[in-house]
Amino acid sequence: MRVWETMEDFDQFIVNGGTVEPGDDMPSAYRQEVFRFIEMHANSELFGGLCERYWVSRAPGVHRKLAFLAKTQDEIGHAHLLYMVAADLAVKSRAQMIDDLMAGRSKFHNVFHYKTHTWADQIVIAYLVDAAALTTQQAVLKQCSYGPYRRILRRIVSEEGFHMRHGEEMLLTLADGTVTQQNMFQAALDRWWEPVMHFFGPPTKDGDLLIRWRVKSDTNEALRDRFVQKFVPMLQEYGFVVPDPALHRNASTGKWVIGDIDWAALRATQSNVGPDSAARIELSKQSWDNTAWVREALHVP
Amino acid sequence: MNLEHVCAEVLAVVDPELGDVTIGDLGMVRSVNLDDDLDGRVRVVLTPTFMGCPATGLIADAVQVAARNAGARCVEVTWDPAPWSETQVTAEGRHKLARLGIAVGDEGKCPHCDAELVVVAANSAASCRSMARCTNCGDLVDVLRGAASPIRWRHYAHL
Repeated sequence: MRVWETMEDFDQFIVNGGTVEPGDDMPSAYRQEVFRFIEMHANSELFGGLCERYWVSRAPGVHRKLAFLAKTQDEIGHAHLLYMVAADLAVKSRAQMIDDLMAGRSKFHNVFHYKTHTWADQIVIAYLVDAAALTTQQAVLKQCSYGPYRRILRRIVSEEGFHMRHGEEMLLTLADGTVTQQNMFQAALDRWWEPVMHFFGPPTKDGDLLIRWRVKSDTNEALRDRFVQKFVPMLQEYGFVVPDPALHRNASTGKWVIGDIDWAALRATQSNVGPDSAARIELSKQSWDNTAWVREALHVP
Repeated sequence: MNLEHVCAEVLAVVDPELGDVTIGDLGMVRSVNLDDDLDGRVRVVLTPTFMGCPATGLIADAVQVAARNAGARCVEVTWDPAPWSETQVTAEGRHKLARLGIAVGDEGKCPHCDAELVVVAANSAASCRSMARCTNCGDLVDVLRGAASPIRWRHYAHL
């Protein structure tokens, strides 16, 4: 077990590229920040899994159903891993985390506060939301100071990469499809572009603790920009219109510049009062209650 | 066309979910043969790590591309449902999997500190993988195993 006498010592340890392990006597502010971050990731994987599961029976064709089944298993598996890593930090027990989530006291990513209207919405999620998640996770994996999290992220990132390829394959099917299919995707893109921009979070403030302690290695704006530079040209190449009237290309740098972002909708999701927050929380509660017999059979409280 | 070259390219196809681990590393390639009766058709027989694996489509497509790029004119990929087992993973495969935090088989050790593992869940992200925890460092590790290699449940622990 390592002990740091002062916060300066700890900061120096982080600056020097040190890795914090669960047995270390880490500063409680660090423990809280890392816990909060991993708990939100775990909650989001669980909601992602439930969102995928909804589409298993609705996906067109056995091939897609199989893929959604497998992805559901991936997401729930990720949540399982993350809840264990979070619980090891001894801020909250796993049971408390689940209780808080079902009671609407915890946060989960903004994209799971919206309704999926059509199959194309789910394709936008599988492609753009998974790609956005991958962008942020890769940036954490790069040099995250908390050892257990970085080590499981390596596996999570390789699996999310697989999901994205699957999402891209589904997107190409619609892009190559009938006008109805293309319009369906465009309508879904119109609904989801803003939430995807919000996904990266509001501009990172100076002195951000997650950056200071090397949990995150890039600011929210840098990650959003990386995503925009890659996906705007890709969506355009597939024949779709990015629903941002102010979107343009900077003549001198050649980089894509997006319009101002209205953060009101993000703030609503952060307080669990987004368009579909209540229904999503209720769905997770039902799923939890419906599987009580499994936990009982396994003697897990 | 050089069959050896085609075979090497097929073995080098990477698994879509496991970073740089190839299907050769995993021992998924049963055979690569040339069928002279069928105008030089190359027959590739693969085995999935578990029945119903959703990656089989992507893998078969990648094998087609790899074999054609290596000079094969006509390629037939089939899946042999004979059970795959983790004993077919090569030494190189074990090494690469360890870097991803994945141990191989029940006897597998923690890739982080080489200590004993305890299985905590029958399945992790895929049906060919269990979830385990290291008895020393507490790290969460995946254990790759075939369906014919059942988990030793005496190792099972709830966490």
